[in-house]
Amino acid sequence: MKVNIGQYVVGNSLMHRADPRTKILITFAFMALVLMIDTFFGFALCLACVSILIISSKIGLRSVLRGMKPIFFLLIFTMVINIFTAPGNIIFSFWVFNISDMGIIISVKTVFRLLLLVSGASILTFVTTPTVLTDGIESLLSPLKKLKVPVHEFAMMMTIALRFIPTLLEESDKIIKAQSSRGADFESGNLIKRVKAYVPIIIPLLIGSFMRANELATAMEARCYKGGEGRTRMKVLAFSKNDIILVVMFMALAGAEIIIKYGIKTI
Amino acid sequence: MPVIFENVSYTYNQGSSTSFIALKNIGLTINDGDFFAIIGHSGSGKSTLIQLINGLLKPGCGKVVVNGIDTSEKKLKELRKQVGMVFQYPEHQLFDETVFDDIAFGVRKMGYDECKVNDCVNSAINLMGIEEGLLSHSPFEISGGQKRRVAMAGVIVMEPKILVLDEPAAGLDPRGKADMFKLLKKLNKEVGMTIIMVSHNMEDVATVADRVAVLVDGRIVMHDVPEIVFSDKERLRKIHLDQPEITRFMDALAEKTRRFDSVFLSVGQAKEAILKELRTSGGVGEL
Repeated sequence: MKVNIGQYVVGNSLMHRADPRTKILITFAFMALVLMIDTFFGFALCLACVSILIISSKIGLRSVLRGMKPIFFLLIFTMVINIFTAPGNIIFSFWVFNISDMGIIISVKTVFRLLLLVSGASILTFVTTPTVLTDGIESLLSPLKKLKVPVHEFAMMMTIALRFIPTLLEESDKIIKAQSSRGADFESGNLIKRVKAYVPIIIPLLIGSFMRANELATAMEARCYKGGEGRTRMKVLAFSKNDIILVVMFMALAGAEIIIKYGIKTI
Repeated sequence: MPVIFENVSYTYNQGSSTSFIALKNIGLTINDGDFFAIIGHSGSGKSTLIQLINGLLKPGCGKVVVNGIDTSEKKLKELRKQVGMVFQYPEHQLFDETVFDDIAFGVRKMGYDECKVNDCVNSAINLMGIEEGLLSHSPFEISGGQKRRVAMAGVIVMEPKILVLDEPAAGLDPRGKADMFKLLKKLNKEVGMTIIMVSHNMEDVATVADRVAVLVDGRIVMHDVPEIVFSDKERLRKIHLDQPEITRFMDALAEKTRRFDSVFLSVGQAKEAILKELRTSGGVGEL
């Protein structure tokens, strides 16, 4: 069974090669920028940049749209609320509903903003593997170590958890098959019966996980793992030319957006 | 009543970009009372094939008929009562508080009363050679070998007519392995169960099976009695499978001495033949 965790798409584009820390920071900065924008021209510029990134990193529009599916309902919902509640010149009305010109403008802008926020965040996960992402987060949070926050341990736990999701899925698939061969039935009966039907799956899974955790801990200790202190890496995160290019590109976008927002009036 | 595969194909993730054809045009009949072995490398479709037998997977095309039940019909309960399935490392499926409850899981699901459940569990532990004292223990505090017996008892308790096993000897020590095959022989010959076993160990298959099918990339390439399958040295080599060690040894010996023309599948057989040859030819020097 093949399971994809996250939505990483294999590739070798600029975005793929850049350092995860750069990508995380730029993603956050990009989100802040999107929240600041309030003109259609500004949105159009951002959208163009995101499209260029999606095309150049060869993610494929279809996977991006698939990633948007969960927020589809939210999009519709905010759009409807905005259309009917925003004040302004009423251009259309029936019964208790009034639609104003401002309402339409605001709702379209909100949809743009949400789309840009989500696509920005998902590009990050499209071009970065979960493990590299946790490495990046660990490195970015490392100043917190001074405050005695166990940053490395958290990152290690996250990495291990991600690593074992496919294993657990495979295992549960196997146990479900074994128990159904013995006559277990997961589909009929009331709610309580159905929940109870999962006991023969969950207990073996839990026991298996504890055993595996135990073995993994022993194996790690046998290789002298003792937490983050003094630990070096095989793949050291390093900034490269790619990161400079990305930062410069982002600065250009941010600069343009700021000029659009504040500059045009004064110049 | 036999297990019949008619032109069965199976594809994983059909229609998606990760689709993978696991079985192609399988036509196969496994008769009642057979001790049937399916051999092949990992990824050859062995596990897919056996999961089709009790309806865990439904054939993409063609049909699988077990004791007159078409597995794509909705008679799964009846089907699974007749086909017992022992997966690889069955001890991973243990979950209940006591050994008794764990073995009784299947028969309780079938709605038997406690009296009948008791009878079934008792006959299952007798067959599997589990001591009665073990029944009140937790299945998690007994030894590895016992765990496997208990897990198998949990399948046999339903008195299936057909028992399907995926690598039943995996991870057992030589003694445990020998016991396992002795037990399977007993279930086959004395209780009369049809045994279908998946393995990639040629020695095991050669000594216990009545019939052997060889799977390569989802196709059955050989299907016959073990004497014939294992004598086809060239063909086995082509699909990267080995002859059993004793067969290879006797082949080499036969080539050197120009005697022993039959195929030997067990050490016992070979020993008898060599002794007989020594007696008739009158000494080691001749050989």
